[in-house]
Amino acid sequence: MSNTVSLDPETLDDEFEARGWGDGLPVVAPTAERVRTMLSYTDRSGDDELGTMPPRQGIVSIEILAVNAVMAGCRPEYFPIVIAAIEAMLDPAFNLFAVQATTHPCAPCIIVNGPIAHEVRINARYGAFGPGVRANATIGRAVRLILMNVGGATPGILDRSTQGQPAKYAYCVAENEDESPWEPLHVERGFAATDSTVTVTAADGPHNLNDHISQKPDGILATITSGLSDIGCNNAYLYGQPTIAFGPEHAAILAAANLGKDDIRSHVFEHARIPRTLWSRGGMAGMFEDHFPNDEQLPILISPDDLLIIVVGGFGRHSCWLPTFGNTTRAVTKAIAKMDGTHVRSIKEFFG
Amino acid sequence: MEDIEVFVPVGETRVVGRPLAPRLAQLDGARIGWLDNMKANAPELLRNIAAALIKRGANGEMLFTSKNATAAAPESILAHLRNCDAVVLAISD
Repeated sequence: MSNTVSLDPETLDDEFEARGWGDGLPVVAPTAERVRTMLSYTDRSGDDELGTMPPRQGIVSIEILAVNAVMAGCRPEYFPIVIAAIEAMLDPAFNLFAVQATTHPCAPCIIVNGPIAHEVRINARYGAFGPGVRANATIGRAVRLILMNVGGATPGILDRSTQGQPAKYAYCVAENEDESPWEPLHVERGFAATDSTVTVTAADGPHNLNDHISQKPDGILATITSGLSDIGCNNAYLYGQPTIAFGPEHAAILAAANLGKDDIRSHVFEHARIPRTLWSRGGMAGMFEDHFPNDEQLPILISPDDLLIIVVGGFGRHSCWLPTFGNTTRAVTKAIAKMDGTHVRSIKEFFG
Repeated sequence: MEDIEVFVPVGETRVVGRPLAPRLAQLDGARIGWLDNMKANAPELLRNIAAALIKRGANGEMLFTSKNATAAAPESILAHLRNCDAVVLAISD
């Protein structure tokens, strides 16, 4: 074992806390045997590196990812998803340095698509953004531990988030492809339906969009666009790629009226707008006085195409949206793949 | 209970050294760039530093520019600032 310490297992959590390792919750001890088992679920060597993680510039070796995945309580079959999520976050388009260090509360939200989401049982239905399912909880937690331990995102030190948010503990969800009337996110983003992917987006926590009354698209879309017309979110002045996560019931009503994702995007672009008069009273408009178009109703998207749409949840007429940090971070999607780039359809493919 | 051996979860760092830029030999005639991150106190800080430098003899061209706080400065701004003898950056919140 390359970089290890000997600790009393009875006091391990206290020792880790004292050394600033972790997220405040007790951890699974990252012993050599457990880390070896985690590494058996990838065809990469523990010494392989994905780069360095800002702002600390920690070296992102496969071994250090496995160590943190063990600590988070991941089953070993989750490990390829953790690797893909970290690869996605290290893409320069994601702008991880700013996402980690900003005063904004954003956290990388991990959206998993494809057959592997089913295989490892990532919750896409009731309470998918919440607790109760080990895959969601520990994949999300592993990513957070890596961001803190390797990337140095310790609150108040290199993570300057003013208030933080609960999704900084764990933020992992699968799209409910089975109950979606539309093409899933990863197919929209150029992958095959049989691929499994991880999409990361630097998001606020989910903001609820409740409409149990409307039976037609107009009502649901009015609820949606009203919710998104939020002067206090970063998208209002920095634009970017917010996500709407439709509950399956809302999605079904829209699809029954032959509304596809592009129709919804166009509608949101046209109607999720903030009156200029409101900007004159508050918000961040003063930062970019010359930045806004000369319209009386100002959009929250540069382009309809910037809106991500997924379906998440069980029964009940709730949807939510995930505002983001702004346009200087872009959603990134990576396939769950072998080291040579071959996309895998099952975790079992890592065993030959 | 016997101690157990566990991995240190933070790993090593790889930091690229960024040495300080050479100091100006003199302020007289120096072209100075000023870059703020668009947050409220940054331009004020730069204006005060500029005033202090003028008192100390700075009399060359001054280029004031701003960048979005949420990202590194784009190449267009960096290209502009490369023409300066010195650049003062203010990051505020």
